[in-house]
Amino acid sequence: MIEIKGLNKSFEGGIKAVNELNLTIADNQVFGLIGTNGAGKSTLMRMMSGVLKADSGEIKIDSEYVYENPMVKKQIFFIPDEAYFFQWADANAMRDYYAGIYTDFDSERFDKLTSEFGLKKENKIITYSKGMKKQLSLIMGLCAKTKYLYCDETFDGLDPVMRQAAKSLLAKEIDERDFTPVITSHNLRELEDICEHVGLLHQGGVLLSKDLDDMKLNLQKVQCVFADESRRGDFEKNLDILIHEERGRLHTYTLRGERPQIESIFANEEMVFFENLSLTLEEIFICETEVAGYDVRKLIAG
Amino acid sequence: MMSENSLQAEKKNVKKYDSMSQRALFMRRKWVVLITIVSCLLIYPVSLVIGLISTINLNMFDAGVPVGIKLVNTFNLMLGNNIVGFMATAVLAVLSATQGFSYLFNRVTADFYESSPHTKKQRFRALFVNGLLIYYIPIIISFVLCFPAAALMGAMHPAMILQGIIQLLELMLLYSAVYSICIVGAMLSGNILTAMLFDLFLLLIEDVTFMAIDACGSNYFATWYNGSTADRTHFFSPLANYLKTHMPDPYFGSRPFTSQVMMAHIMKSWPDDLRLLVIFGIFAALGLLLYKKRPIECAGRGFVFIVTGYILKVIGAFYISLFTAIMLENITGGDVFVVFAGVLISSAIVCIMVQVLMIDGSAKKKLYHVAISALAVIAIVIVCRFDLIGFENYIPSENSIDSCALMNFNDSGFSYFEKDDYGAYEEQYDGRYIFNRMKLKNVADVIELAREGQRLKCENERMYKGFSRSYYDDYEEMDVSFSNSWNYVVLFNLKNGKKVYRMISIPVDVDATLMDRITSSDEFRSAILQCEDDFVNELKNSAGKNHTLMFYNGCRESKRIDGTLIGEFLDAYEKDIKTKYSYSDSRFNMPKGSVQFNEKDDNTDYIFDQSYFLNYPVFEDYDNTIAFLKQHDIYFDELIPLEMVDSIRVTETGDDGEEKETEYTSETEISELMPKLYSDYGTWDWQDPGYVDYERQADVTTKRDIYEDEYFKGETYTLYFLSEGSLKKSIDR
Repeated sequence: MIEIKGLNKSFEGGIKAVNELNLTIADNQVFGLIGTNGAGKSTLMRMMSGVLKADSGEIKIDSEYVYENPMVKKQIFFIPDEAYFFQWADANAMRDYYAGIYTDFDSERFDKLTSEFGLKKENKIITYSKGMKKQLSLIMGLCAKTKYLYCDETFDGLDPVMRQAAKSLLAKEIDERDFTPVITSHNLRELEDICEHVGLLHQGGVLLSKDLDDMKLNLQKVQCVFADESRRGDFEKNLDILIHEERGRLHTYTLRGERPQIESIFANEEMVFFENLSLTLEEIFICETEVAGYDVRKLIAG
Repeated sequence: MMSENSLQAEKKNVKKYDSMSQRALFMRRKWVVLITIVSCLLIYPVSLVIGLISTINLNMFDAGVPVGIKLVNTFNLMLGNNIVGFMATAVLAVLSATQGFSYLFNRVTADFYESSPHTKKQRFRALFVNGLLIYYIPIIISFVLCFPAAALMGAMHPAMILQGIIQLLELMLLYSAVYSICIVGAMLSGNILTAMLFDLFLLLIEDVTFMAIDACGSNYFATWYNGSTADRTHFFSPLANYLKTHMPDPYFGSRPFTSQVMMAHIMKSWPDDLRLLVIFGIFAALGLLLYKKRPIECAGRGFVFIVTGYILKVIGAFYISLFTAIMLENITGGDVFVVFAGVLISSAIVCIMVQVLMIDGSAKKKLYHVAISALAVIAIVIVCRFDLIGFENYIPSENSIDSCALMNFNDSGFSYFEKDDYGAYEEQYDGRYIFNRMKLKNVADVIELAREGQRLKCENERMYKGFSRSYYDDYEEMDVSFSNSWNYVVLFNLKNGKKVYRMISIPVDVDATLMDRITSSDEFRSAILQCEDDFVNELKNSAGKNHTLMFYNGCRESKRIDGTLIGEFLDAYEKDIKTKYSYSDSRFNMPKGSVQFNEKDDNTDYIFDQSYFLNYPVFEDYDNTIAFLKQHDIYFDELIPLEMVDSIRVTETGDDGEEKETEYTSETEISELMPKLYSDYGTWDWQDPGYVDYERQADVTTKRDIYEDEYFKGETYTLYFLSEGSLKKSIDR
């Protein structure tokens, strides 16, 4: 488990990158960190990796401080937003390097995965495309067999097929061993089909951190057409409406409440049309953060 | 899809090694490793073989020295005084230090390495050691390879093995010291450019500071004595410390390498080597400390610690501006406006350049930095130019002085012989001999002389500068005479151990009584002649068949006698100096001639390898010396014996430039004229700078075919009358 308390980090020029940040990342779940550029995602990741030293506050990983602690760092594989590979190295050279660092590095799996992803190990990495480099980094991270895998915008820009493949790999890892990936992105859509728990960073602090299922359970999105439009006003009084859109007679509601409860309310009213819709992560965020007085649409890219 | 078999094969190929292992680091730094290996091999074994082949080939044109000695010397030159090796070592150290920690200059690489499971100390130690091994291994291999190569080509000498080890260790020390300094430079920098700037700054700041002090001193102060800096200790300049004992010897090729040479080198160089070791240790520790303190997020920024950037900016601007000021002072003749404008502009340029390098927006522009450096320079210029510190007039109080020394500084300083590493004597031109030996106790007299000398030195300097500035305008109208004095250096040895040096100009009309009190002292007399040290003892004992003695008076040269008599001569001369030498004796008398000690050309014993030409002026009252010369029949009392003179043609140049010639042929005229004529062949202490009048020349022609003496067969000798007003005129009376 990663526990972060009262974390602060400023850069020269008075830039407050992380501001009194508190966050807990539970084990064995895919944790997504969302935030605009400059929200502090990468800084937080670098501090969680033991690269940067916090000005104040603490980061504990499995109850141990991470900074200057090789034993803890051995449990972390950090894929930065711009991954580094040795000049003129091929995938094998990088494999050898990581195999030297991470004692459980699964070279066999590495070879298998590179082959499955269609990465030619004998080619110099410098000739790889940006997406291929991200794939290679991810494969390295998975094969390192560390408990924690930090992916800083690693999934941004991956094509849907690759993202799906990556998602499957992460899921498989979680099923098979003690594994906690932490993924950052400035784009909600990149994460919504991967993450189980999401934290929203804004101005160096955590605006929100919730389990995605919990958020989804308590939020519903429905479309309906009332048989008698004049009854709508009274009907809406029974609902905790977060968002209401109207297109002709078609109404779309985003509502707070559990699904059976919402469905029973709608069942008691005569409807021409009624349908449950699935909520996007963006919608969930909009709803959750509006309560806190933020216009989340300005904070995240959709 | 890869088959199971091929996967198994691949699995076997995985090379697991610690990412911080030396092997892994060598692999990652292969370009630096390659450059270092190639450099070491080229500079040492390859150059040695080429050098030895060249030596063998060139030997046929110079068979004087046995080829074996030449080969050993070449080997020694390649290993020991290899200036290319020195420069390459320094450059490789800078390269290795900067490249080794260059990952800190880039966020991507910094993240990569810093996220690996190692502590900062582990990472620093691995990289630091790797940077040392990158040089140590190739240089050791290169040195080792040199020995079989040298042995095969006949260039081996038993002492060379120890010599090789010593030189190798010294090179490794140099490398280590430069390397650790450059690591500190890298730790203070956020990118390669500023790292290089810091490297230069740290490596050269001490030398630049000394240069600035010397430049200010010699430019602004007439009484500044540059020689006082000859033995200056460099505390943290590895380059200066190494060069001090490894500058290639200009006479190198003709000297044999021996165990004695090697021991002499060790004895001379160990303090500098120790200093290099201390520099290495201090800067390595500082490097680790800074590495730990260094925030990783400063990768790519100009300066890691803004304050060091500001310091570099201000100090850099200060030195550049100071040198600009001195240069402009000389170019413009001291135009205040131009000098101050130049200082301000150069200071601003440096500050702007460094500010641009700082990159980080957080580094405030701080225009007052320009003002600080410029004002500091302007303050120094004002202080120096108007001598607000009273440098020119400063004389320590009599009570604080333990002893004094005076050294003739007319042209190149006092000349003496000192043994070098090779056991041979080299002529030196500095004050060390005099200043170490002369301990004048009549302090009050020296102070009185120094006060007058400093005043005249400043006056002469002002006249000279005035002359320089108006040279193109009114040269003809300038009436500047620089022959009114003797330039000397006075040294005050203070009781607290400090030394105060001043250049002085002793006026030719100085109080003779005062001068006699100083110059007649035992302390003065025993120091002005190199007569009691190893050189003289060796000269007395070893001057063999290759050396000769003779007497010369400007017209007449005696026969050459055996050089082994130098000991006997020196004993006699020393007695005269210690009993007769005084200012008045030298000032108001003309020497009868000089004893000259020369070396023959066919020298093969390598004890004295350069042509000595020692000149000892002999005055009329030097009884012991004259008795020696007479005993060996090499003394002349007169320039030219009267009976040998055929005619004298006197040419006088008038104020209008017209020459008037008068021919004298009668014996009476000749006997009246000859005692008034002097040769200008020699120099001696306290000689009136304008003792002869070059406007009154006498061409003395000797008779033909009368005497057997080869010097007087119709030859014409140019002599001169004494200058009008010269104190030597007293001789005529």
